[in-house]
Amino acid sequence: MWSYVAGRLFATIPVLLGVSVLVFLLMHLAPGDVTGTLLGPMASPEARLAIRERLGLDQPLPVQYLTWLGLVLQGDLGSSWVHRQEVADLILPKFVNTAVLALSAALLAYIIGFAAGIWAASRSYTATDRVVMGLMLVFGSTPLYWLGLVLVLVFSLSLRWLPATGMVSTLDGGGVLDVLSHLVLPAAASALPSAAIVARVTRGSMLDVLKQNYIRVARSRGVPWPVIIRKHALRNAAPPILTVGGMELGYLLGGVVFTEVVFAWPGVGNQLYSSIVGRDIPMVQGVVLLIALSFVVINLVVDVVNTYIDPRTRTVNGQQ
Amino acid sequence: MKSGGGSLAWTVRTLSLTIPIVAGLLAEPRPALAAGTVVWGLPVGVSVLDPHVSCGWMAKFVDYQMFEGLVEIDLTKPEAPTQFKGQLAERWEVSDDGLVYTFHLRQGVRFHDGTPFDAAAVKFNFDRFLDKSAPHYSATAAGYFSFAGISPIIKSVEVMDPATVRIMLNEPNNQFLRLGMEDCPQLYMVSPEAIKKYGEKDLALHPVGTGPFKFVERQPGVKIELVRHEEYWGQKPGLDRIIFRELEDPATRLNAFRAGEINIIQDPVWDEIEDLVAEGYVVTKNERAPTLWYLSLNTRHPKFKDARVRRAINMAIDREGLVKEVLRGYARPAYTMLNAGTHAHDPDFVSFKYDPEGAKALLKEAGAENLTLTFELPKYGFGELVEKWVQRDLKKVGIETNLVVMEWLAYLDKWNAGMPEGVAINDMIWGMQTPEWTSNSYRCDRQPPNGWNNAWGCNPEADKLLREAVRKRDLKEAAKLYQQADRIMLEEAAYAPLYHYYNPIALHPSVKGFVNAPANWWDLSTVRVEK
Repeated sequence: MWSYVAGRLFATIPVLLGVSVLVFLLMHLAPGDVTGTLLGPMASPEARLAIRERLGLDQPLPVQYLTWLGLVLQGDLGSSWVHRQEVADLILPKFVNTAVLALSAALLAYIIGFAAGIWAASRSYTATDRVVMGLMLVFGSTPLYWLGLVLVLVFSLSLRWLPATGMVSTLDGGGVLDVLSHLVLPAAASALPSAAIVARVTRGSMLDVLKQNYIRVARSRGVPWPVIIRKHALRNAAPPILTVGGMELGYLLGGVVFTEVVFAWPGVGNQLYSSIVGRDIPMVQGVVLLIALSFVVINLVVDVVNTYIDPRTRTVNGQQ
Repeated sequence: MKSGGGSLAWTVRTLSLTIPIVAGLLAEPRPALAAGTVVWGLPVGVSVLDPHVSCGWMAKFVDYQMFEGLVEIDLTKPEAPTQFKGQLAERWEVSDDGLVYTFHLRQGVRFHDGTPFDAAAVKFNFDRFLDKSAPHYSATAAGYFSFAGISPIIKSVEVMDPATVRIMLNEPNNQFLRLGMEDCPQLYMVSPEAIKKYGEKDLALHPVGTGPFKFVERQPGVKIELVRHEEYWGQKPGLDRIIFRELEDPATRLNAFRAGEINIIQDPVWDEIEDLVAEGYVVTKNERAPTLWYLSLNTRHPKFKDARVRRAINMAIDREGLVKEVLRGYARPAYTMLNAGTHAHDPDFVSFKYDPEGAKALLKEAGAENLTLTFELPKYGFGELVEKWVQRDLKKVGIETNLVVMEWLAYLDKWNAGMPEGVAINDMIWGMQTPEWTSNSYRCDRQPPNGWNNAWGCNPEADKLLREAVRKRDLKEAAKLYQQADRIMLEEAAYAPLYHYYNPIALHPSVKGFVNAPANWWDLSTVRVEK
């Protein structure tokens, strides 16, 4: 078990390196020039040259990359070119905000998706199954931006039950209840498309398991249906569901950007959007690296949990 | 210049789909937020709060509340052109030859950190971008002040006594004071102690001025909070605090406003303004805001070398229809590059009337029929509604245009560099209160990288008029020269002005005393919020 975990940990290194190279290159190959951001639109060519030298932008790309990577490994993500503050200081609090939103959305998505998937699977090919899965299909196909606006219009502007934007009240906000009230709508908007995916995978996985002989045997011996679902089917159907659940959490961490824009939620997604628009390369690199790291860690955790549940999956490079 | 993001078209479509769901339920404004507090929804993010190294209308707006210059434009009146008022200088004199400005400083003023404001502080601030040997010299600040054309004008800054400063110019320039009041950069007085203490890197996190409001905190992307400066030397402001929220998405900004989470928003979605008024909100505008939307027509483009083709483009655009249908009356057709906020603006001058048949004839005469042109534009907070209108009008006279949309900052870099031969048209929303803005758009020596004459137009006669205009002591005479140059250059048709924007701002009914001044930033010291 521990050698498996160590092997999986080791396998994440090339993934993270690959991500770092991609992020680095993408931002450097995009059009535009940061000297315009820093010095104003009509700075002299000399001033532009000086700032390029100061930022090391006159060095060859591999040198720039290695310098940056060396600093990142020491925990130094550099300074934001736009905000002139340490990237880590800027993005870590926002990452916590995003994590709060993504985890709440994931929790909601699991509850809805899991319940819908099991319900549909236990009544497969009936009208209930079709209605539930049809509804999930609608959720899965709804554009997040639109869904967010509808939720605001109904629950915030019309019914006046919940706030429309932000994470806390603008004036003297704070406290758990205040955050929770702000969390409901963005979490719901983010959760529904993910819930649809979890529901589909749960249903599919459950149906596969329910076809197995040991389930038939259990049924023929008169074991009650809820017990079969809970004790025999669910545990065996769990690995793919957990994998997809973990991936959904990863996607939510990186993908709540639209929700964050619509609800002005102060997270990294919102920050990533403005940093890309502002060509704030250190910020973009920091945020993407953080999201990639979380994605890899989540997958690692899911894999470890899966191997705990199902010993058959304990294989690294063909070795037991 | 403004910056922004999001798509209006998408928002409008979305809202039009969703609003019927709750039709009739948005009947009245929410109760007021706390009395004494303004929460302002900004349409774009704010750059750094260090006035000497900052560019952009929003940073200027925030800084305006915290910082002061020697002289400032008075934004407590809606009339244009704006007038000067002594701020940290009680009065000032200009020598007969226009070369020496003597400022008599206000006594007893202190910065928010308690340190005194005096002539030495003024010199310290100027040295930051003029004196390379000063320990606090900033190359970035020097770049900004050079770009704005301020530092090249200044010969020296001298402290005469603790209450008097003298600035010598290299040559007369009747726009010297106005140039220092624009947004890019801002000639504000920053506490020398703060500059020394925080250095260039951290100064923006600790902005220390002498203004009516002082800095509390900034949470990037969340809010910037200011509170009243109780020891302010002048009239105490009516507000206890100001919170700026950066809400770039137009629909989000509107939702926060309607939900009662903010009480003022800038640039409400044009289509929604009528509904906002019906719901009881107050929407203000200023018909003389110095804000112009215009097209640059590349004189180096093979199809545009003949001025008749560029004139035909000007004649083909239905500006009246554009402001009525798209901007819903929150703009006026523009036929001059001298925007409505400058003293040189001539509201009666019409360069090219809408005449599609005349445009067609002119194109035929120039042998330029069935053109296909590239039109570059930024991804902007208002969507591409305006550009699509222009595209439709040009199609009517037989000109096809390919719209190439780019991210704002990438676009800005390209725009600043001047149009390459392959690009025929691009656009911009901008404007300053000084007519010198047109010098930077028109003069031959202001082609990139020395100015924003990015259509590469050049006319020696107009150049001569513009150089003469800025040296005149009499502003009325100067205005005539600026107008003559404008007419010559519009006949050259390197630009197609589209409309003068009215800067709509929506207020909760509890907000009183706000003046929508003819500027792209506003004075909040006159505002009150009632419960």
